Amino acid sequence: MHIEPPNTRLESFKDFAKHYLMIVLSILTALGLEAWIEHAHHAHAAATAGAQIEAELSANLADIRKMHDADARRLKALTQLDDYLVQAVKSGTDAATVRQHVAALTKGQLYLGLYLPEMRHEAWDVAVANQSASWIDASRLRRYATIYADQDEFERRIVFNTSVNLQGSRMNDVDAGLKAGTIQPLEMMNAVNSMDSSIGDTVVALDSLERGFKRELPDLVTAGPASPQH
Amino acid sequence: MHLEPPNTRLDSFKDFARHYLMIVLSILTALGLEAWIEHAHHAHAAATASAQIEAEIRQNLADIDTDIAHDSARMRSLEKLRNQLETDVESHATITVVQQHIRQLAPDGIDLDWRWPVLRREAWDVTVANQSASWIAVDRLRSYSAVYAAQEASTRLIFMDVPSIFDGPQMQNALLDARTGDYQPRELLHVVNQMCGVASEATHALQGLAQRIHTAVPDLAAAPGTAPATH
Repeated sequence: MHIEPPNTRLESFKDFAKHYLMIVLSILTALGLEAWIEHAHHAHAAATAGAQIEAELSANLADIRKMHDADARRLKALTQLDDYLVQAVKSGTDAATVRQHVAALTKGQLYLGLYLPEMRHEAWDVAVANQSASWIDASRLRRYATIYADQDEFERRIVFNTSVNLQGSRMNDVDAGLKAGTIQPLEMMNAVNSMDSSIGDTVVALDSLERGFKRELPDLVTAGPASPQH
Repeated sequence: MHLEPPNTRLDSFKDFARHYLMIVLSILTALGLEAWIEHAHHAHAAATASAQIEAEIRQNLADIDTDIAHDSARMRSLEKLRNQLETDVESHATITVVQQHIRQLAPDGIDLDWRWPVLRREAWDVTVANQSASWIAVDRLRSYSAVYAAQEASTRLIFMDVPSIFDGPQMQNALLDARTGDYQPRELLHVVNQMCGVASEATHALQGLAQRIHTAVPDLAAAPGTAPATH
């Protein structure tokens, strides 16, 4: 904005310089004001994005803990079963006795499967998509990025481990064979051992993921779990 | 906006030209100053992002080196066991002799224990997310991008490759049979041979990856004081 007072003439270099300086300063003031307003908008966008990311991570963490506890309980039961089956196979216990014992241990339901958390990432995607990530504090952004990268790595490794180690289709055969009374101890031992090993890996990976949350966002971890959104 | 009150007249072309020149120069100066301040911010953001990316790449290189050493040691150890089992199978050695050889070559039991490092990428993710990537020199940015693409491709390939050369359930069953003492040396030979294959693939893939990273960013070396690789 340029307001020129009455009778102002540019008759000398001094006049020229005065006007020049005044205009530069007035434009800089206007730009500064605009930048200040923009900064307020950006700070608000960053706060909103940060709050949404933390709510998402908090829900993910709650699900991780829930699934970790469920897997740990199943691991305990399967390890006990695995130990029994190894001993039974070693000592040549007859199949009917083994089936009866396994049915008693499992109360007739042999659950073989993994509990895996659903780890959402859309709050991060939105913050990148609408550029509000640019206005989040750099070290905070780095912490969020680390956790989302950990989540991806967890999922990738679990998919890999289960594809390599888990005798997926045979798990159903074991359950059906147990109910029908046709399964042999060796077959059951192999399937249970495979599941035991996969759940063990998953529990370790979930532990490691939770440690990552604690390291990067201790305030989020101590704030207590939010209820999972799914 | 330029409000000119009464009595200020541009009586001549010269007056008009003077005012015109003054306003153009002053706006250019103000915009130039703003651009200079922004440039300083961008240069700072780019330098910070580059430093973080380079630290991350150095740490990844260090983890890669650690796991190459581990995997190649596993490969050599498993190869020895495989060669011995081959000889035992060829000579129809008794189970007792085979057991004795296994105890000598794998005193802590047969274990695959191959490793693949967690190749971190959050410095890159942050740089893209907060747009500081825009201010990094394009050639350097391309080099960083090549490093992260190589990391991603190598990890994807090894995770696709291993299931095609290695039968996890077969290994678990064979090692479990070994625990119960009821196994066939030929079956164990097949399993140990697969385990060698995995350790060998991982070693070579990591060496290839390290080479690609060094080619993309020849000035970066592994971070000193390597941390234990996480996997």
